[in-house]
Amino acid sequence: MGLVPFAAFVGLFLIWPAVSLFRLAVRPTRNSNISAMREAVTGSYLDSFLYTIKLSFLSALLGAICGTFLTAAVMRVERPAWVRQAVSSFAGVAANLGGIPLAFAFLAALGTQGLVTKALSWFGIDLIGAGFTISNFAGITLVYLYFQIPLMFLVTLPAFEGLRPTWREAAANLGAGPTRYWRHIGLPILAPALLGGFLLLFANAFSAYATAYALSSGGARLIPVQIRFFLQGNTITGKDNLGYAMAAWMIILMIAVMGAYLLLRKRAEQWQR
Amino acid sequence: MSHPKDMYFESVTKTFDATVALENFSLTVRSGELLTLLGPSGCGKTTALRIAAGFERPDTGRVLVGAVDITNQPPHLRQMGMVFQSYSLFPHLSVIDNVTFGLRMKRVASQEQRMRGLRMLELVRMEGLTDRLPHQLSGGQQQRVALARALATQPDVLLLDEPLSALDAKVRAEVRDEIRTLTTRLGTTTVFVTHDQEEALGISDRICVMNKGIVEQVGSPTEIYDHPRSSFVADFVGELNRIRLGGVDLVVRPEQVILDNCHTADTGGEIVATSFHGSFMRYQVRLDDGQAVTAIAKHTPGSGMRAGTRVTVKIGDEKHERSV
Amino acid sequence: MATLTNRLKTPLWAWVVITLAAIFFVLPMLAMARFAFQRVPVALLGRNTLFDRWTLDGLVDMFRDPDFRPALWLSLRISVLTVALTLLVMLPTALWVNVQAPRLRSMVETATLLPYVIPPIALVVGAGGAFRDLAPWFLRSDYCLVPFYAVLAMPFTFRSLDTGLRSIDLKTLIEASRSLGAPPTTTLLRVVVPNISSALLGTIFLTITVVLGEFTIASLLLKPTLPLYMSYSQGRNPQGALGLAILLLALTTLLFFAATRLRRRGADRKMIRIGAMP
Ligand SMILES: Nc1ncnc2c1ncn2[C@@H]1O[C@H](COP(=O)(O)OP(=O)(O)OP(=O)(O)O)[C@@H](O)[C@H]1O
Ligand SMILES: [Mg+2]
Repeated sequence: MGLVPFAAFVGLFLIWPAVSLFRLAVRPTRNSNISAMREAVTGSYLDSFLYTIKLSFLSALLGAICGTFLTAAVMRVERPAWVRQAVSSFAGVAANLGGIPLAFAFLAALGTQGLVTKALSWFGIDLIGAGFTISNFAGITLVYLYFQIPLMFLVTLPAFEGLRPTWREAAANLGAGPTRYWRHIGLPILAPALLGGFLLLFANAFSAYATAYALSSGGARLIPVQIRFFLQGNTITGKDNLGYAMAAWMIILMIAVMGAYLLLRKRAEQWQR
Repeated sequence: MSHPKDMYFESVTKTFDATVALENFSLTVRSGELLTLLGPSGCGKTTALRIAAGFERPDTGRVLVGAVDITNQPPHLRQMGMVFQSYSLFPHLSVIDNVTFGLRMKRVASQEQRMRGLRMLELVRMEGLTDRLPHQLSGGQQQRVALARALATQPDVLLLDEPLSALDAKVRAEVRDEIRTLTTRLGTTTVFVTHDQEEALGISDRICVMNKGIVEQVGSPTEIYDHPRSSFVADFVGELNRIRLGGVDLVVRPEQVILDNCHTADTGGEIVATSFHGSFMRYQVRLDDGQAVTAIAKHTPGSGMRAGTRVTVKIGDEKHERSV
Repeated sequence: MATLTNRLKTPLWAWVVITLAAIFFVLPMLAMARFAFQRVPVALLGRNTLFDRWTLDGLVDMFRDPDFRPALWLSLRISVLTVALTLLVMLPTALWVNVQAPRLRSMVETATLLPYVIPPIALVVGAGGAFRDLAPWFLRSDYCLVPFYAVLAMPFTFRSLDTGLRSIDLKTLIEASRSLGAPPTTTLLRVVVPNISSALLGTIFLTITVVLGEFTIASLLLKPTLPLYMSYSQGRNPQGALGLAILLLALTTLLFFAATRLRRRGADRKMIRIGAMP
């Protein structure tokens, strides 16, 4: 009963748009005899999906690995107590950073006229010559890491903090040194949280629009930017069905990924009690 | 009379920043006995146990098992089993995998692992729940599994740090008895930490009473109870009345105080409060000269007295405590 | 707590990892600040020119731009409205879940994560299709962003409120107030709100950070909010645009710190870092 306003709100501004999206995606196409849903996963559009998946996978994997090491490192710092606090607070900001400011920052640092690019060239390292630009595959992946690593940190910190000292001590008592503790106890207990974090990062990268848009050229192949291309404001591309279909596929993928994430999170919480 | 599996603390001192947790702590734990470390909160019991297990290193002093100095041995190479206050089971492993974990670390053949694991679970009466995960067990069951896990590797010494404190009264007594029977049966040397004197008196072969990092007295439960060597021990183990009757200072246990509801003798008083404990009754008595006395009387049907009753107070025949 | 680890000091590798991370995260910000506030081309940057020509001119030019003010005002108005809508919808929900139906909590919490399943780009595209035929006036108004921003902020705002409510004994408070004869509105305003004031303030701050950072939806619906203005002015006045980005970042960081600070005061430690997400 008391949930009616909430349900109405979510229904009207979240569920209904999503449902409309699917309706528009499957409606018959004017000048083509295959459905937009099919077309969106064939040919060059399929390539876009694969490109986006590849980039999301890589940035999620690197983000998860670096983020886990960052968490592990921060957990080992006890002495200056502010370190952990500072990293947590900063991670909260950076994980939500994206879009225009982030793209600006990386252009200023690693663009052709970037500060770091210039500094490296002093040391004789030619980034541009080596094929790196901020808007190609490697560049976008690097930019995404700026919010992926902090997000992983935020997701895994509670899991690391949930590792009870008595588990380590009990393991030591039973003959497991540090290495075997991590292999048999620490990592298996963290596994759901780490895997869940990876999935969350994947979803996060896949749906990132603003950053991809701002990095223009290289971002253009990413699905979120493609969707915009087909549905851009006033322009009639005649392919708006395709845009809806891509967005619909995106939601389907997100349902799968976030569903798995929620299952893993439930698992992790069960153990924490 | 020394034994190759006796454990010795030799003048162990341990300080944390400003607090002295253990000071010149020396103690022998005899092979096969159950020795209890008893003392108020913060007196260093846990620290002593953690030093034995290797989780803390003493500032000075040594720890030995038999003739072997283990002071600097890392924890995973010591033959110590430990049961913690709570939550020490590995949450991702089933009951049987928890119990056999130590055997797996010792690379015992998997056939034998399972066999020995099952036997341990049988000993703690948990054989029906081998495949459950820890969060599917009650607190008492979890502590039984923890006990089985610690015993499965047949450690030199079993260390128990308030293993019962997370359990409720009934389960507590049950697991306590289980620990006692099991360690006796297996002949495992056991150090048991508690701040509950009743628990200590009930379970131990010997008790080491500690205070502020120092050993106050070591002895059998009856020695400690009947012949406390310091007023701290006397106060901490059991209850004491300190009263002055007929110009003599007396220190008496509540069960030595006899209350009578005929008022002939010279020491009279009034019961101000009573509480019923099942097998016995506790009375708070105020003597006519204002002193307070606690008395305990065995309960038989119809024997109880009400608050407000006038009574006379006598001290039982047993030898009075020396005034300490 | 004594642990096995605290006997061993922080190992070297931990400091190496933290230092590398600090470099990775601080360098782009420094580069952006230099670009925004120093009028020396990178090519000429050297030891002699390092402290030359630092200036706020770009930012000042931007403030003088006739399009800037309307964008700022629009973002501020949308912030206020989004905060209002969020409190109007999420506070009763969080209260209901905490008082009447604790069993529904995990369901509601999961529902608040839906914006991750339906990302902004899909949401705006779907909303376009959904409202275009039925209520075209809605999408024409600049304020159509408000409900969508409230939706995007939901994962943060619900958790923030829920945490605040959980940290007080809500049921007892309400019963005590009722038994003293206070009507429900008085109970809410005089008893509940003061007790969760820090959670409320945190929620408000988090909502504002979402509004000030959102680009996707505004961009596709062509609403001239501050982030959109920033993006467009990059071509005309790049220094000003970057300067504005820094200002916005600083503001966001401040609000965020304030929100986490507040949350720490009222609630238990475990809940602090809802910072980013689920
Ligand atoms: N890691 C530590 N850092 C600082 N002080 C500590 C540490 N561990 C123990 N202490 C201090 O050492 C003293 C002894 O602690 P210990 O845990 O051994 O007491 P205890 O007898 O087990 O008490 P309890 O019955 O409350 O468990 C206490 O004053 C405690 O505050
Ligand atoms: Mg202790």
